[in-house]
Amino acid sequence: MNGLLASLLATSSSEFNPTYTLAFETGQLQYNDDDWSLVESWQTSTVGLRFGYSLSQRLEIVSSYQFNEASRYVGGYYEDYYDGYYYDQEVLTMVTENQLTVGPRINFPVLKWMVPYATTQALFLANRLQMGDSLDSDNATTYFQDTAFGAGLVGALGIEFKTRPISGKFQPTMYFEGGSGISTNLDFSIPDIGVDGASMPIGDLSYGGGYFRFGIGSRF
Amino acid sequence: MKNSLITALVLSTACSSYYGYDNIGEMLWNPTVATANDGIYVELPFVGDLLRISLPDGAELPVVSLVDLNGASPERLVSSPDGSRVLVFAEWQECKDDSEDIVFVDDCDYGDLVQHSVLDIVVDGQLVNEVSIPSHLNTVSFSNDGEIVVAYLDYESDPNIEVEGFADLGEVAFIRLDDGSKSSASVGFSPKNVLFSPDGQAVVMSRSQVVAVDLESFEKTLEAPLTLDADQAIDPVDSALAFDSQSEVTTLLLTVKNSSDLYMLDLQSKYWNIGNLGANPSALGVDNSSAQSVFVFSGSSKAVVLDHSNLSTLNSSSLEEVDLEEPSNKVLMGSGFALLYNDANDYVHDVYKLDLQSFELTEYVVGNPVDQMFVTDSGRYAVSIERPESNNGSGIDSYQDARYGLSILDLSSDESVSLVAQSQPVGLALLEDEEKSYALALLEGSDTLLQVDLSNPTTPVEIDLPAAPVAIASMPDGQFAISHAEGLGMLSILDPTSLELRTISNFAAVNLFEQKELPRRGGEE
Repeated sequence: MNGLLASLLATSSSEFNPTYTLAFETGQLQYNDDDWSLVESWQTSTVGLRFGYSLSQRLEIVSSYQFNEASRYVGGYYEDYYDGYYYDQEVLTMVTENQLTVGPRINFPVLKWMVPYATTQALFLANRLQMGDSLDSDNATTYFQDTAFGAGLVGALGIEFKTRPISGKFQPTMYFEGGSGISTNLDFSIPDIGVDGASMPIGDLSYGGGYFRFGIGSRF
Repeated sequence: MKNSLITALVLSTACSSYYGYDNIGEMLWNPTVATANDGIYVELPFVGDLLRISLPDGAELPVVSLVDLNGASPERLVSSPDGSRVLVFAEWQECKDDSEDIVFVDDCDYGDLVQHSVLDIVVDGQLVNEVSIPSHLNTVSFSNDGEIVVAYLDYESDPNIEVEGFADLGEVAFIRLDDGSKSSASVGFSPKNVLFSPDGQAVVMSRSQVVAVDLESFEKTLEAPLTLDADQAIDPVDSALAFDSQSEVTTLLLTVKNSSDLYMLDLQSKYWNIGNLGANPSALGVDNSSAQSVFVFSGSSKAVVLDHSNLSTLNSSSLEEVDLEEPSNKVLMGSGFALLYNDANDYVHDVYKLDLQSFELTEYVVGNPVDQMFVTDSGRYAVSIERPESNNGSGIDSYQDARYGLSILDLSSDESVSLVAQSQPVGLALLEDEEKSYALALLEGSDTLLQVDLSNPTTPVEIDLPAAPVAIASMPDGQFAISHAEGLGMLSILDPTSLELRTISNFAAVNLFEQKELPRRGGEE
């Protein structure tokens, strides 16, 4: 198996210069806010697609869309000594993460089958918060949702492995990139319950810290 | 390797739909709310904030606003009797290191953190005064005019007291609500009860001692020991002020633990008189309209009625003993009558109405042991919540014994009806108009509010609720606030005349993602 893989990588064609890249990828941009613990026990990875367009052998424009649903129950009990009651409360929270990144990627081809690269990408965020006793809004007793927008920046160093082209049209590829990123705060609120129909603040969530992506796809 | 990668991707996606559970230790909101003229005040224990939920004129639905407590976190709410103020037992943390880098509690070294306890006075959603109080003071009593509160430690209501440094557990704080001025007095160990006399004194009972404090000057006017033996500990059980309109003398009536003695303190002459009730009393009630007091005894099947005239020369003619079939340990006073019942003994099902003019005794037998008892303002009805008892019977008796219930006692016609409840009653409120008396009952796990016409209790009106309730509180404007068992917060305001419900929810998420900043008060404490 290892011999076959080495053979595939080592015999990549130098004449094949595809323009586009499409890859399925997964990764994380680290949460930078303790309040994420009210949304998720531990940070799960986003999943999505990356599209690349080569301007030259050294320069590409890459764009990724990443998606995740982070959710958990939050609750506890409260003992009211004065009335002698125990109250149990439980709330389900979910943040639907939508991350769009776009930016240049600079390649440093050192071997035919391995390309180190650097990239910096603008980050656009549109996260939807849902809270309620159920997230099925039609059947929930308490439920609301709110969407917050944010922006940020990620920077990473990566390495891409390419195989021999298939039929001169497709070239399977796999990459891993790591770095760091940061975002603005995403401010959430509860709609319509304030004075004169105003929203009431919930607070913000943000990203910042480590960043990694792993992708597998094809150049064509 | 390929298989590993695919497995990783599948696992990554699968994890996205896993609902973990985070026990945050405290609730998002406290369903025990405080009602005031301007709205309903709700504690958010987890985030440490206070909300006001109000119903503005013309608004269809209630609205939510945050009450700024100057960085303090509410611990307990108490409404003033007239509904004009809400008192908030609150705490705030100060970091002695005033570095600008320290923004949150976690940023401050533990050794630099100091906790302050305050009593915040909130009017119309605004903090108008903040009074520093020792952290262990957990209970307040309001003076007759509602303008002064006395804060003290009631250990039995909440044994979780925190002490920083040294604390005087006998300290009582007197706070004038209009300007927040405070004075303190040490009244002896374990203050038990605070009473307010018509001549402007607060009378505080503590172990082996009674102290009176003038509410103008906050100076002690009386320190009356209950014993001259320093080794003897005398703990008050119940107390009341008896006012005799003929002599215009106010007398403190005090019963003590494990004793049949009745201590009587004339607040004018400051002389004690001690009488014997023949058994250890468990409760007392005062009816100033007939100038009589009623004593009940958990260990003796009798009640004793005390005539307030000539308390200084108490003798057997001042005491009227009324025999009961079964002992009572609690007494509720109505106008001209006393309602005697037992909420401690599962074998006692008797409730007695004692007419204080004729001493005529009416016996009611309820289905199950009494858990709580209520009397309507007019005194026409009494309503009891009953708890399940050991199942000794069979057939339908067994069925009733095993269930919670509600009994309605018609105190004018002497009839009673016992109803079986589908689940535990979690809230009961009484309301009356000129013609009718109603009980509003909430049952655990039931999405229905039962409006029971007390003159015809067998056919209650069912009012659909948006969710199961956990508590009901009356509001000063005659409406009711119903708290629902919803973690995200749900509160309904019930108009009892139209039976219209106006519900607001989701408020418990306010500031959920907002970490509370350390207050910086510039040296203020």
